[in-house]
Amino acid sequence: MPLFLRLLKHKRSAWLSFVSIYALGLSVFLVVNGLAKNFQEEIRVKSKELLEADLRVHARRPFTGAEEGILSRLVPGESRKAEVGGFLSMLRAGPDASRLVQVKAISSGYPMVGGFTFAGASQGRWSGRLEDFRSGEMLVPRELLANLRLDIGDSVSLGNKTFVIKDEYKTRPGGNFEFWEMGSRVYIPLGDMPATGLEQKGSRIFRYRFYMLPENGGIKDAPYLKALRDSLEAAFSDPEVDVSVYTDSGSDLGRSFNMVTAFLKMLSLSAFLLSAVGAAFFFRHHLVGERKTVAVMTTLGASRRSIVGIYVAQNLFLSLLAALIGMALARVWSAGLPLLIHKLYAIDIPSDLPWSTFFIGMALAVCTSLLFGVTGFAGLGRIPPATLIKPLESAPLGILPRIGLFLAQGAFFFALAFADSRSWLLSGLSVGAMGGAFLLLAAMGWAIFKVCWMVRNRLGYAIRIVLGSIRWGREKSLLAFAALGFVAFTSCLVPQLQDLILNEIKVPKGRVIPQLFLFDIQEEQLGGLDSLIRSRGQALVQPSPMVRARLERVNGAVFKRDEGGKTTVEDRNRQQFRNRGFNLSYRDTLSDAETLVAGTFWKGRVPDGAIPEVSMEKEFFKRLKLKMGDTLAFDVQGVEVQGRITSLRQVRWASFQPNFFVLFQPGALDDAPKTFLGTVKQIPDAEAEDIQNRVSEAYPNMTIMNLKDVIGRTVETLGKLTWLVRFLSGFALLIGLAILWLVVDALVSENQRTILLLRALGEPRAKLARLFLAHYTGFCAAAGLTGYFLSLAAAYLINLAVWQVPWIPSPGIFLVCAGASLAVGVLCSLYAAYRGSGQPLRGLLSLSR
Amino acid sequence: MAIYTHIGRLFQGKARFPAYVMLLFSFLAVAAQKAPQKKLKILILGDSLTEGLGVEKEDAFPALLDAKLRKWQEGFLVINGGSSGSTSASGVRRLKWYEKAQPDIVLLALGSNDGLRGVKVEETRKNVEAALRFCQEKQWQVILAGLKVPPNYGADYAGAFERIYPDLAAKYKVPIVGFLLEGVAGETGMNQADGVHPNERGHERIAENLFRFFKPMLAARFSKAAKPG
Repeated sequence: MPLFLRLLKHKRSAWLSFVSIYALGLSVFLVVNGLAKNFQEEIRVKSKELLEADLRVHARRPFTGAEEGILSRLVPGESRKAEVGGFLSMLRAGPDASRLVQVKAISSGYPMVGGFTFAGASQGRWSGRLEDFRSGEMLVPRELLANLRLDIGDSVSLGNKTFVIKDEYKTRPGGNFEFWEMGSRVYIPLGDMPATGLEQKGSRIFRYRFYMLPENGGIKDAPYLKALRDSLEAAFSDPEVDVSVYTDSGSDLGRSFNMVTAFLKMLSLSAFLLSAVGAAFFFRHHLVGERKTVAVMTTLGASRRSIVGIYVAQNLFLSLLAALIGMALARVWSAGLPLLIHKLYAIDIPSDLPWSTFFIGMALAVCTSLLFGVTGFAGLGRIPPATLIKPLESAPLGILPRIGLFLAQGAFFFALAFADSRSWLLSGLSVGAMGGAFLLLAAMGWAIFKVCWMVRNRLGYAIRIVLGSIRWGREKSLLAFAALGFVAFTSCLVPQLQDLILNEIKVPKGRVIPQLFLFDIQEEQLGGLDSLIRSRGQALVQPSPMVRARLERVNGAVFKRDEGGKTTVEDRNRQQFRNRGFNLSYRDTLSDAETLVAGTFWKGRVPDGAIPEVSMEKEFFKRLKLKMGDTLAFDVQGVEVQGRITSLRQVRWASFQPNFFVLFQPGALDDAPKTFLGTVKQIPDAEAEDIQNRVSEAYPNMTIMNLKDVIGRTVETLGKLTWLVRFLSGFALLIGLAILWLVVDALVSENQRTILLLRALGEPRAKLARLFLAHYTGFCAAAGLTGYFLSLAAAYLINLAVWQVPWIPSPGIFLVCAGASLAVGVLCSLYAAYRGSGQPLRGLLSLSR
Repeated sequence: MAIYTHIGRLFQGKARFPAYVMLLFSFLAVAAQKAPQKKLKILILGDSLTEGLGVEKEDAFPALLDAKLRKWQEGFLVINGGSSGSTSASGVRRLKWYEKAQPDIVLLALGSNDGLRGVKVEETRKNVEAALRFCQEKQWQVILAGLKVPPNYGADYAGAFERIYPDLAAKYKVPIVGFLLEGVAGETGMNQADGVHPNERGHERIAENLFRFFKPMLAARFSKAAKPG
């Protein structure tokens, strides 16, 4: 058996701790990373489904010959393509029965992503394949059949052309909701579009071209797609030709998903860094314990290189073993956890871990372990044979090489973070927060010890002995203090960041999720509408007034839009955003989807003669470059209304409630012309259809939209994200606990000699117990609370730099941290008592062996 | 003093009737001259087309019309009563908001959102008619602006929608601007990317069309006001 394994044999429990902690940390890193990547992939596929292709080009007219030339020149030749014509029209089902529909005239090859499911095809009426969808046929949704009291096989007409309803589709490709789509989607063959006679001068008919790019050479990666989009946009002289790629297809979940991804990346890195620190702590501790063995080997004539080689081989062996176990664990968890979660919450989490993750894991485990162990290895060569007689007092490696190594470790983790996140900010924050916290903790520990040492003469002799013991092994004590504080820091930081994220994304239990959205409700219609909906056993939820206005002046100066080129669609959108009117509203109180982030919210109505208060949504406020206290003058349809910005709100847009960028104090806009926006909660399909029909009949001016599918998908995805954040945070904290045990063990071992010595000198056990209780609880509480306060600062800074969401530190985390620190202190003293409970002289003798 | 004595005699002698008539004409002439100084308010009640969605307020056609009218003659004020997204159902309620402004003329440009949303033609007709009657009750001169939906909505619907405006104009004997978006709707270079809302050039064209419509009507109104009897 090689020497390095034989040496390990005597320290089985120690290397088992090393391997288990390192394997646990690595597995968390792999699982978190793998799940985050899988989830990212799922969102990517969803984005593609939303766009219905890799690339979409559309214009409100047929493409010109020159534009066709650009497309054939710039889009890769092997791409598959499909065409769609889209327009609104009135579908007639009889002399008095007609409905507005969104017509999609589809070519062969459509859809390229996603697909239809049909009611009739599932009953065997036809194949359900679009190759069998022929001229003169139409595919319609169920609600249209119900609205017009139609059946499959009935005839309807669009313009001059009559169509037979071929089938009712249950699901359709795309699924993205376009606000201007006021009617149900119906599908006809593209070849039938001319026969409708609806394409004339002045018609609003959109032409879509969908492309699926070939699967080679990274052609579908985001950078290529972005470059393709940019080159197409530059080539089209008419900015009305719009180019989109799936990587930028809009998603309501964009912000939430980005927040969660950033959090998960930081979490996985922190978990890994934590386990690496734990493993390094162990290995250092192990090497310190091996000094005498090294001194023996040196005395026996072993070369320094071979000594270092033995311990490097030990490190390599253990880290490889940890990597293998960690990968196996990750594999088991990634396969088993989604099944468990599916059973418990009926949520599907993508489970497969890509094989590349394992190779990365293996390389990481070995490199990190070596890098963190290098300080210890370098010191091994400097241990003199005299250590056998007299313990080594100073560290074998000087301060400068150690600072250099610390910086190298930081650089390694920064490179790792950057390779993973591709973000300087996230990498800097993760590594900066972790490295900074470690250094600060060490500095704080040193300062606390210095203060205690200065006042030692006023303390009892036993405490002086403890302080002396700490001073004697100050490096180890400092490291233990920093490691303990670091565990507290990470364990407190993770739940704080988790709270920040969950506050943004979670859909609270009991929240009424709306399904029907009603627009253009006139004030005089509110009562009648409410009665109508109540008569169907439901209620109109949160009807909110909406007043159209235009921002005219800010502090008396004319509010001007940004001037500049308006060549791209984005430029035009930005321009429209800045100079468009606003939908103002007014309320007495904040909704539960809003949080005040600056200023104070009004109480009551605006007093006579006073300028009304205005509350703005935080991001909107920033985009308009306004300041708190600014006086805004709005043109409310010809009448000027002023308001002063007195508060800013953070709005959770995923709350699915009517929310507004600008809120006025009640009293200012009560008489202004307004419409109301209201919702009806999620209800069974038949009830929703019934309400839709009755409202359309009684109030034809109102627009009523059923967003069940869109909101359902959003809620489902938010549920998954919430679960991911909660579960993986808890998972990462497990490592903290495991490392805690290592530190406790090391801390007590360091003081075992002192305990036994004091007992040998006749110190009573009870006094010793009190002494060590004070020592360990003080030590752990100081380290734990320092870690907690550092975590507060880090959470504040990370939130400021990455998410900017409202955050109030939870007192619960402080209490748990303080309680846990004291508990660990008590545990240490009990453990110390246990370790020092035998015969003191025998114990001292065994230690000196 | 002598001149006052002569004037006093004029109103006492046989010539006192013609003198009173001359005095009356003089007052009327002065009143007629002062008429343009009291601004004539034209309210344009409409939707996003009127509001100028996507363009600056001063580039929207009500502001451009205002500038054209002022350049032609002092004493006009055109009020932009456009509200994006509004349908004809809000017409009367919004007119009540403008009661304070006391418009002299109201151009009703209501209904394009109804058409785009496929609202029943009868419903739009009822709402526009209610707005028209409200204006007449308030003794505001009403002008209707004709609107159309794009041909892709189908000839039946588009035809029925289009007929609302001339029918109502004939029924209530009010002037009508044939089609508000004449020379703009469906024209390349006149609309924003959405194909619905006019761009700056489109608004300029609408303002020019309206100016040509209003100029003879207002000129006649002034000359009528200036003439006695």
